[in-house]
Amino acid sequence: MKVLRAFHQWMFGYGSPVTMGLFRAVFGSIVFVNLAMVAIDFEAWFTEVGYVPTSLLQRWNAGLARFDLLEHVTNPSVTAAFYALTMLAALMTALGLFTRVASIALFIGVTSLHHRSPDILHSGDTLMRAMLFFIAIAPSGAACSLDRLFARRKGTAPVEPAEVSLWPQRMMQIQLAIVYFTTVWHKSFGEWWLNGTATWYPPQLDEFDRFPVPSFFDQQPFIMASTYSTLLIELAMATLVFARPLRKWVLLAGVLLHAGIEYRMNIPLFGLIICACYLAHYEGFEVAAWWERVKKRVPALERVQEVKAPSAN
Amino acid sequence: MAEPVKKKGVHWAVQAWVFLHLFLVFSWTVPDPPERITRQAGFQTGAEIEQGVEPPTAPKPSFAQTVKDAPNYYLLYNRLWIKNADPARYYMGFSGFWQAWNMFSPNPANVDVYIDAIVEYQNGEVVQFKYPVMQELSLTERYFKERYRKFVENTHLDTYSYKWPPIAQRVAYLSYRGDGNFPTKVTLRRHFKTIPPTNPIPPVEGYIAPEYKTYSFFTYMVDIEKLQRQVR
Repeated sequence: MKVLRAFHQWMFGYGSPVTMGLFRAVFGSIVFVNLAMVAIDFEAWFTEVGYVPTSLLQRWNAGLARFDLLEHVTNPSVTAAFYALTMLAALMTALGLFTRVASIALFIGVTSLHHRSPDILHSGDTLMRAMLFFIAIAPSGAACSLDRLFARRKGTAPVEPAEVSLWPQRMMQIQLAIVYFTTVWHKSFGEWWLNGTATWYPPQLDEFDRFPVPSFFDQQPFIMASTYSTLLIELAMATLVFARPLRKWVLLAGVLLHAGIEYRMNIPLFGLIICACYLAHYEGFEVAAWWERVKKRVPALERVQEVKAPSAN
Repeated sequence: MAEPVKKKGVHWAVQAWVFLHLFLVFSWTVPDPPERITRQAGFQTGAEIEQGVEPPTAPKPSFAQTVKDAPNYYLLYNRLWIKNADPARYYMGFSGFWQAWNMFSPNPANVDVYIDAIVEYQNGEVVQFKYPVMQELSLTERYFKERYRKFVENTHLDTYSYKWPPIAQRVAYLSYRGDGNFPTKVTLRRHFKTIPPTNPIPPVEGYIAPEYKTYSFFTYMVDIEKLQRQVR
């Protein structure tokens, strides 16, 4: 019972909203960049003269209704306006301006765009969509936002952000753990992951080529070491990361794993998106304390008063 | 000055939904059961359902084997009772909560693929259409054009043949040069090479990567009326 009570307290207890605010700002910026990158080939992916006309969607949907405001839109100007509004929502979410409305609009926009052209999505996009939902339902504008800045100026917000129930942040943490746990489970059925040769293959594919590495990276025993360490790190990201003393080291290992993939393989923004989610593993008061330390080192930042924790509980 | 917020606790319905959501996300993302387990339990595999054939009878496993396979039986019943159930399918599929975390699994891909096309025009001219190929782009370009690679990954296999006509029509659209000489036929080609395994012999200095093979996988007679409307 004690364990259950402690879990319930962790899941639904109250705390500083600073992490959720910072996460919203970082994630909103990444989503904006992501949308801007895809927009370069807007005609190819979102119009009737493109590779994915709307007539294909019915087949892809396989009899399942999908939330897609663009499903029957064949006018490219309307789709372009929708795309632009989604980008605007991303910008406003990043800034924390009309946060609730902007973040809900962003989730709706991104979901519609993803359902409009599903064949160009990678795992980073899927994770982005999942996290945007949590941002939309969380009190994401309660800290690190223009909403709060304006409310402070009007005198309608307290000096320090009011504590909120942290369940949206916990959902983010658990969602991230599910990502890592289930990917290890999928890999456990793979012969090459079990015999320690899996990491030999992806870098050999020309289509993923990015920056060069020393030749021993493609030789044993390095291949075996990188294969098994990938599995171990992913498993730790689903389990040990919840143990406070180990958290920093597990997250560091996760960052190194994704930095390695980002360096060697061309999978745009995936590493950035997933590593941004690591923020969710830090409590608001920890982020605020970190900000205070940064401000001491960089006095010019003293004027920025936004990130403040209610208390270090 | 605003009043401090009173902590009311989280409504039980919200708490229930939180757990339900996480449960469904987890259930949605775990792997499908191995074929062996599906067979042992007397169910048809996906391919057998599609072909409408009865599964062969499998020998009954020992008790010890059943215990060892418990996680796989969980995967089987998760597939049957949760992932295939309409409420879960609609909740996850409609809303955009659907997700799959099978990156590089169960084994990483070992086939390098890119596509191009051969375009024939009304006047008999034949030209090659270059679809963006990652390794031929600059580092910056390939970062921005990676969606083209992903699109090929999700469309080039025979399972997705219903996606090929729009691809070919797009190729025709891009190949039209505005001179009244319309493309009439587009042949999509797949270029591929298979990466040899490293096990048990580690790769050594002087390793020579395999060559690409080419295979024409779809020929499309261009819908010229549609093309004329598109280029208008």
